[in-house]
Amino acid sequence: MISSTIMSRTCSSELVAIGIDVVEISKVRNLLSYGTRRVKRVFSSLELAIAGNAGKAAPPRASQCLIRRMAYTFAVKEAVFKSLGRGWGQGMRWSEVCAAREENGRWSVSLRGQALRRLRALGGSHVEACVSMAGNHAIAQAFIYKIPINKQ
Amino acid sequence: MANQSEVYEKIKTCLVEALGVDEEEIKPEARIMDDLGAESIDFLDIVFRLEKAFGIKIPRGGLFPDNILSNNTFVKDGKVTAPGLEELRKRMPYANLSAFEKDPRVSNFSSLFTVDLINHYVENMLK
Repeated sequence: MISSTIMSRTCSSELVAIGIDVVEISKVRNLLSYGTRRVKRVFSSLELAIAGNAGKAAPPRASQCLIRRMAYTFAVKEAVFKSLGRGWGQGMRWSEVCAAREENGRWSVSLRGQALRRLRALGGSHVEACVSMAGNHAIAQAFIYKIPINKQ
Repeated sequence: MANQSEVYEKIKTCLVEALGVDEEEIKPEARIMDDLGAESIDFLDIVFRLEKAFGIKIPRGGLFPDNILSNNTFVKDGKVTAPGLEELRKRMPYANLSAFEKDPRVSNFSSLFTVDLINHYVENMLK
């Protein structure tokens, strides 16, 4: 379900595209086990730093928090790719989509490189995302919006 | 250096562990996505496992070229163009493109990624 926060915040924007992704949290846990050098091919330093803060909770929840956060982050990246109509293997790099949960619980998404150019080509101005979890799966939905010219 | 059979067995192990499939499903002609059910996160796992198993570094886009299908010169009307095919030949000398060249629809691109392709790529890297 689209969160009411997103709907109210973007009611003056026009929806251009939607993407959704579901990822097994255990697969992200496995990915993280390959160490920082390899993980940095997928996640940005900012994403790792923010997730690292989540991982400062008292053990044993610490690692669970970190893994869940990174699973959400990965799902958001994939959902954004789908909303852009292009994915990994089609010119997009995971590092071009930076997804981070802010302190207020909102997810901010910033794009660069090919992903940003694709957003512009679609007429989009910004991307928003929301996440959820079901069992061992992290779920993310991404929304590309454009601001109508008369609202700019 | 590992011989061809050892290389193949190691690749088989990587794929079984990454994709959770049975050994019997790993055949040279098996397509990584369509037959073995790999998703994008699985490709990362496969690449990382291969790097560890063979002590190699697979560069971004090395095994799976990542910016051909998004290039308007290389793709037109849902098909990979002649320059696109030429680029694929250059970038994927380890791939058998003959079937794809006959029907170069973008939707057929994923069929290139077979167990055999990974095998040839790794053998090339180890030379």
